[in-house]
Amino acid sequence: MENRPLRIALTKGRLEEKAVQLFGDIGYDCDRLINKGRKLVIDIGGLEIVLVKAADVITYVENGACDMGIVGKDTILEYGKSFYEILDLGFGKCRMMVAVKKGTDFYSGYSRKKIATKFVNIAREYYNKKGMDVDIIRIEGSVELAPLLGLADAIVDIVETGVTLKENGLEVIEEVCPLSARLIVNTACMKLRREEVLELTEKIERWVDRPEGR
Amino acid sequence: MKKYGGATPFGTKDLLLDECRRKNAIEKKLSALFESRGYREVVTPGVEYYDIFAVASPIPQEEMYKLTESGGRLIVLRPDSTLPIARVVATRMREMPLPVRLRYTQNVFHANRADEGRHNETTQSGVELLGAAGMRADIELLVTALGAFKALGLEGAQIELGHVGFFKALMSEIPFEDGEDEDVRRCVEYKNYAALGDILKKYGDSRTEALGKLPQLFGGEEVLARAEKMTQNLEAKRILEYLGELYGALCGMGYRDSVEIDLGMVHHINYYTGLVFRGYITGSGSTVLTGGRYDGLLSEFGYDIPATGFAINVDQLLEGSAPCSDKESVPEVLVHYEAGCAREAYQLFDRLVSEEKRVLMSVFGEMPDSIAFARAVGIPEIALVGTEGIKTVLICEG
Repeated sequence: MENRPLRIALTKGRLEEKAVQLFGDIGYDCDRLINKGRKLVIDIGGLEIVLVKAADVITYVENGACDMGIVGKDTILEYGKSFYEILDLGFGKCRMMVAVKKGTDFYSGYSRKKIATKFVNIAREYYNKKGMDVDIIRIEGSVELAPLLGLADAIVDIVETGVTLKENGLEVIEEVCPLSARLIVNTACMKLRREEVLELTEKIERWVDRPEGR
Repeated sequence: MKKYGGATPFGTKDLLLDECRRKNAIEKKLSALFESRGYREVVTPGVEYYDIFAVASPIPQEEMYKLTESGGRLIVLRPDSTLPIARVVATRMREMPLPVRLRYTQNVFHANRADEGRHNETTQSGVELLGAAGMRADIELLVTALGAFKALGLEGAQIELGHVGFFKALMSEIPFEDGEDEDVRRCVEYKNYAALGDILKKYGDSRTEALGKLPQLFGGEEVLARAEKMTQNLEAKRILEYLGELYGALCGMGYRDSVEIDLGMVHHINYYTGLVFRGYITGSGSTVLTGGRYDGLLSEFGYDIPATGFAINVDQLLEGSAPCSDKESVPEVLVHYEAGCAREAYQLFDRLVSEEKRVLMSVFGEMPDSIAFARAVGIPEIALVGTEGIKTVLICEG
């Protein structure tokens, strides 16, 4: 462990392009990340990068198989537990929202409300805090469909632009929390390889604070 | 076979052969070290009443395995050894002169979520020093923990020190709204600088400076000096002084490279009351040792004495330890005897054992079966005990 370069797990998909740009901007050789072929562990000159699904970033970092990771706050809230969340990277910004079929009053009546979502833990926590007892229904994709088909009274989902909601006749009624990409660090690694981690973190922090990033 | 007839429950596993040997070796080294420092062993039941852990436990109820006893009382699989030991000391050891030093090696159970690579059953080996407050007791615990790493030959292992009182002192200065204090604590524990800054913003700069920097206050001795400059709180300053003295004492004993400070260690602040520490080893992604001072715990059981202790996760050490080569467990001699020669065969067997040979008794009646077995296992030599004496048969490979 000591001798290998720091290994960083990046989230595939929505956050990937910006994360790759980040490492390119701070001086790493990211050509190999762009033309990665079938390689799974990519050496970008002093750092090892793996590209995995969002929830897996957390699993790899928590278990110490990767030292650091870049992952969305939504994934952290949904799955995360024991690691350090040390930087808000400022990209991948969006919001976790509650949305209902346009024109319906979510809070009316005494019937138990049904909430469809991919983020069952976030939804449960949110309604716990509100002191509202609801049914949570896990939906894997196109959550917007659930209220339209009468499966749920509301959805809790990530909203970037709101276009999908609008096109499907839904409207946002509440914000659960703002989201963005975060830099996370394995707890043991933070202590055992402190200097390397902090050096890289400082570079990334400068990148986050760069004028064109604001 | 039934549906789950071939598996073990989530988070549990079988340990086989060499794994057991390595685990035993780790436990033996730790037990010997603790024993040599005057810590005597206790064993507590595998199940305890839920009430014991409902009082002061740092373990949330959803992480405990629960059962009902006949009669309907709620019991849990032991999730931790410190509370049962507090119960034992408070109920059955009150006559013992203080301090009492106890050690244990036993399994604890945590109902973690499935499929995340976590263990739900782990062996912990640890010590508790009960009835002693102050620096000397804290030093003893830390030196014992460092000694444990040394006894196990773990180079590069690190222990980091923190103190929940520092955090509590800083928090007491700011009139947080309901629930905000827990948000702040979480941000500090997970080093979430950004979110912490957002919460503290509205309370102004001067009072919150140290609190806001808390996640960054980890590293070597310089951390204490940095923290000192950030706060005017007298209690906080007193704690920094205490940690400085403690750190200095450990450095004086040659542990400078093995000890660090993290003032942002704020886990279980309602359980710990003073010094907290954690140990890390290279090759393991999480803490292998956790400990601290919990002066309020024993009074929950009606015996108001200070106490401190730590536990080492043996399974994690096992994962990090190098597998022994199989060669070391292969017998060197197989003893085969002809009918009527059992007595002589077992005499020979005992002699070879006393010479520290690895030896195995054949249960086959026919020599060709013994030879085939020796070949399959890789035993190089058969001692054939017959009416005419003992003959050595060498087994060629393949």
